[in-house]
Parts: sequence; structure tokens; C-alpha cells
Amino acid sequence: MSLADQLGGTEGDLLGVYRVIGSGSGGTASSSALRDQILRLSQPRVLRQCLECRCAEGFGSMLALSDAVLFEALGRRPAPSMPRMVPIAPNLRGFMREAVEHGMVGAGLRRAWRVGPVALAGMGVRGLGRIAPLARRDFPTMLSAFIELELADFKRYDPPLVFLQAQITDLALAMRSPMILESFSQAVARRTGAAAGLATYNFGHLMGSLKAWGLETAAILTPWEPGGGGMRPSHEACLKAARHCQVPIWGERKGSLCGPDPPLRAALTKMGLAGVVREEPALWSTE
Amino acid sequence: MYDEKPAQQAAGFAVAGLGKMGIMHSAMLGMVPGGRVAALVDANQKVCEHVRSMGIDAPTFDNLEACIDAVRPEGVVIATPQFTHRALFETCVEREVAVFCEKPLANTLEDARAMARLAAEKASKPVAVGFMLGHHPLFAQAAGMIADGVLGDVKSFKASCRLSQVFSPKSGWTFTRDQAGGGVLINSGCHLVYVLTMLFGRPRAVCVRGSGVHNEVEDSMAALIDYPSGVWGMLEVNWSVPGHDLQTHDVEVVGTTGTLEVSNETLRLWLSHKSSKYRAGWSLWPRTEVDPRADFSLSPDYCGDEFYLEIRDFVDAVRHGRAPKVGVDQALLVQEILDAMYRSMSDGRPIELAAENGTP
Repeated sequence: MSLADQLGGTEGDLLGVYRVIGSGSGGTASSSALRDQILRLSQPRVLRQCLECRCAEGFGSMLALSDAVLFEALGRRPAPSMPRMVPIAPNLRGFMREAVEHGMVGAGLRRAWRVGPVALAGMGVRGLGRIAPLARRDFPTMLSAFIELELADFKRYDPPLVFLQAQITDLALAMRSPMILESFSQAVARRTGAAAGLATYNFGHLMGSLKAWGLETAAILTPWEPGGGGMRPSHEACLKAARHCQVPIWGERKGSLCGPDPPLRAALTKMGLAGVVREEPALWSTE
Repeated sequence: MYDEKPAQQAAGFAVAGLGKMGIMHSAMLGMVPGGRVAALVDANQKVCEHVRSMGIDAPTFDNLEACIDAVRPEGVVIATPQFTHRALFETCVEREVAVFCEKPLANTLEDARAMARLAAEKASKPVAVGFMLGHHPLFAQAAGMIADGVLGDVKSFKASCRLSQVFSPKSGWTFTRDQAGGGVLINSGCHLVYVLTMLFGRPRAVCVRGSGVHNEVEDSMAALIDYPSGVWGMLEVNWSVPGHDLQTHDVEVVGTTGTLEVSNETLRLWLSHKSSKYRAGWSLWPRTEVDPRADFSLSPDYCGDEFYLEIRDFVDAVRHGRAPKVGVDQALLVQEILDAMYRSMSDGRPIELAAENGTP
């Protein structure tokens, strides 16, 4: 079974939980109505109820950031009544929010505390060889350690796919640093049995760079609009890149108010998309 | 206007100050046409090595003078704290190197004036300032609508800048009056003050209240602003409110024939009657559908296009020897307004700004 078939549910779509939980205290909510929904979902019991409803409707998988409320809602073990977890790591915005309150070291310690001593000890043993690069703040090494820390939280839910957060992917592009992407893939392989995918805001650039660097990815998550909004460097370049892309692409439609209607669905499929990320307000009800 | 430098002789750009904005500008220099990071400068060499490990293959320096002597960069991006801007800026101008200085221009009006004077007298190369909303097409479009009389006679406005960042006492230069020049207004709200200069020009007077919710500097402030045209408006800036992980800039302008609302993400226009260019009722322009858009963005949820466009403009200005889109004069006006606002906040009374010719 292909990765897209495993993850996508009935219509190939992923539930965009990361838009409402984990990215901040309603930080991306553009309306007070959406913010009210987000505040309700910050109660683990309500979030669980909502996710169970969406799973029953056919959402097989959800994109999620590392977040204490989400983990509490999911419980200690994966449940068949819940969508499968597809982590986006690292949760940069969540970390920066904690860093503002507790400092960088304090935020790191809070993450470590949440992972627990056993997982931490295992990481410590595996990470002995990385002490020197960590001490000199080598970015790829720091990134992989941070991602492993986050994936320790996700591991119990057996994620089939992990995406690298878009700003890190795109930083690697801008800095022309394939090492960053390789570090991510290695961290995912060390910590989970999941496939490693890349989220990006710059799909056309990414595909060119991957080809130039001889790197592969298991899946892509990127903004995708029929009119080309948010697609970089251009709509045409992204369509061309999609035609040559051999792995599933999920499209983000920021601010969409409903799922794709049949003509749009057909058009997106023709463009090469496995599905879209669904985040419309109606999905965050508990009914 | 300035000396033009052929691309084949391009030496690249130095980035001074390798915090969040320094890294952002370094990334953008790697993506804009003709851009390249030629050197990294930070007093802390460990930070330089950290940024090099992200993939930038460039020499590092612990001071700007040594960097300029060794590399002779085409331009320098100053992304250090504002209390260090003047000295670095002077180094660049004196050595005839183009400069992009992050906002605000300085932590004091005195420093900002000295920088503007030096630029006017001696700058042989482009000088840009990092008010990225100056590259935002929705705010420019709103300014055009106001100037063209689309709203009829503009009467008043309401502007707010909000951010969820400070919920307890903080340490660091950002939260000291001596080094930052103030709190939320100069650190975050200066972007919106810049936008208000685009929309309404130079104010006549300001009356401001502000208070530190958690810190010595103001965490929350509000201003009543008067303009010579009779327009007045309210400005509110706060970084201690939840629900705004990303900084928001919202302006609502009321005129005799319509209203406009503009933010980082959308421009909405409402007209009571059809005009020559716009229909009656609501019209909407999302940022994602308005040019110029950036070929590359690191943060589309927060002005990612504008971070690209301001660096592209700077590089292009250097290459073609032209003035950048946002220069020292506009930045100095912002600094004068900030200074008047802080004096009003401190004195508890309205402060009149000097007219452009310097008279009160």
C-alpha cells in the first residue's frame, strides 16, 4: 500500500490539527469565532471528542505539532478511534514561545522533562558521539537532537510519516545546506520507523535543490491553490515541478472555508496532488 | 545617484549581528538575484560559527572594521541591537560601503539625527532602513486610495499593533530604556508608526499614555495623534496580550464616502457609492493575490514576502546605484514621532512635533 493510500483516508486529505493546536495561543486565528473554537479545543477532552468525530467521518491521519494538550487528548497509546499521527517537527513556534517565558535553556529542559528519563537516557547513549558538535552549536547536530527529543513524544503513536517543519526546510534551501535535510532524515530514522517528508513554502525551489543535491524525500507538504496563491517561485514552476515529482504531495489551502468541491478536487488531482490539508472551521466542532 | 557596480565585480554582502534578523537577512541574501553573503560579523565568534554551520561558507569577523578591510563588501546589513546602530552605520558610510540598517534607525533621536546628517553629507552608496512594511503592497495601495480621495475626506483612523510576547518581567537589552530606547513602541510598534507616515504623513501633535505591565519599559501604550489636515486617530500597541503569536498590524480609516481596513494579510474597502475605479460596497484584496510577491519566503504567515522584497530592493539599489525604497529620511521621521510619543508618555501632556523645516 502506498504512503498516500495509508494516510489519506477516503479522499486523500489530511486533518490540519497543527493549525489550531500547537502553533500558539490562537496565534493564527484571524477571527474571534475561530479563536473561540481554538480555545475550546485547548481542553484535551474536547479535542479528543473532536478528533474522534473526524476519524469517524473518514479522516485517517492528522498533521500535528508537538503539544502537551494534544498528547493528553490522545492518551498514552494509539487508539483506532483516532486519526493516525503525522508529526511536523520541530515545533519552532511552540519552542520560541516557551523560550520567551523560560529562556532557551529552560525551554529545552521543559521539553526534556516531558520526554521522561528513560527515553532521555537512550538518547544520551546514542548521542555520545555528538557531544563535541553540540558543544560548538553545530546547527545540523542541534536540529537532529531537537527533532529526536520531539519524536520521543510521538513514537508511541507509531507515526508512518514525519515532516520537517517548513521554515527549516526552506532555511536549508536558502543556505544551500543539504546537511540540514540529511540530519533530519537520519534523526527520523534513528527515532522512529517513519518515512521522512519535507514541508516547504517554496516547492519549486525545493524540487530543484533536491535534484541538484541528489536527495530524495518520501512526501511533500506545501501551499497549493488553483490560482497559484502562496506557490513559490510561481504557479507555473510549481505545476512543472509537480509533474516530475514521484512522491505524494499534500496541498495546504490556508484560510479555506470548506473542502474542495468535485471540480476542484478533480483539478487538484490532475495537478498531481495526493490530497489537501483540511483546516476549515467546521471541522473543529465536536459533532 | 550613486556609483553603479557591475555584477561581475560583485563582492557580496556582510551581515553584522547574527540574531534572528541577521539569520533571516542572510537567508534572503542567498535567494535574491545578485545576493550573496560574503562575511559574517558578530562580537561572539561562537554565534558566527553557529550560523556558518547552517551552510554559509563565508569568513567570520568579530568587528565590522576588520571585515570591511578584509572583504570590501558591496554592502553591510546591520542587524544588531539599535543602541549599536550608529557606530556601525558611521563605519559603513565613512568607508563608502552601502548599508541596510535594521529598524529602528537608533535608540535615540540624537543618534538618528546624526546618522541622517552623515548620510546626507557623506553617503556615496545607497543607505536603506529595514521598515519592511514599506515594501508591503497593501499598505501602499491603502496610501494611494487615501491620497486619491477614494474615501472622500478622511476624518479619523484606528490603528493597532499586537503581539503575544511579554507575560512576565524580562531581562535583556530589549527591555531597557537606555539600550532599546523604550519598550513595545520602539521595538515592535515602530513598524506601524512607519505605516501611519505612509498613510497620513507627518503628525502635528501626539498625546500618549503607556505603562509597563511587567517591565520598566512600556508593555502597553495608546496614542491620540493629530495631523495638520485635521485627521486624527488612535494608535494602540501592546505585546502583553494573548492570541497574537505573530505580530499584527491593523488600520481602519474612516472617510466621508467610505472606510478601509488594512492589515498584513488583507485590504478591505467599503464605499457608500461607486467611484471611478471601485464598486460600491465591499472590495477585498488578499496579500497572496497582490504583486509584488516574493519568489521565496521563509515566513509567509508573517511578512515573508516583505523580508525578501526589502533585501532584493537593497541589493538592486547597490547594483544599480539608485536610492532604496525606504531610506534614512523616512526612518528619521519615524524616530521623531517615537521621540515625541515618549516625551508625551513621560511628561503626561500632548507634544507638538516640529514642522519639517524644524519650527515648532
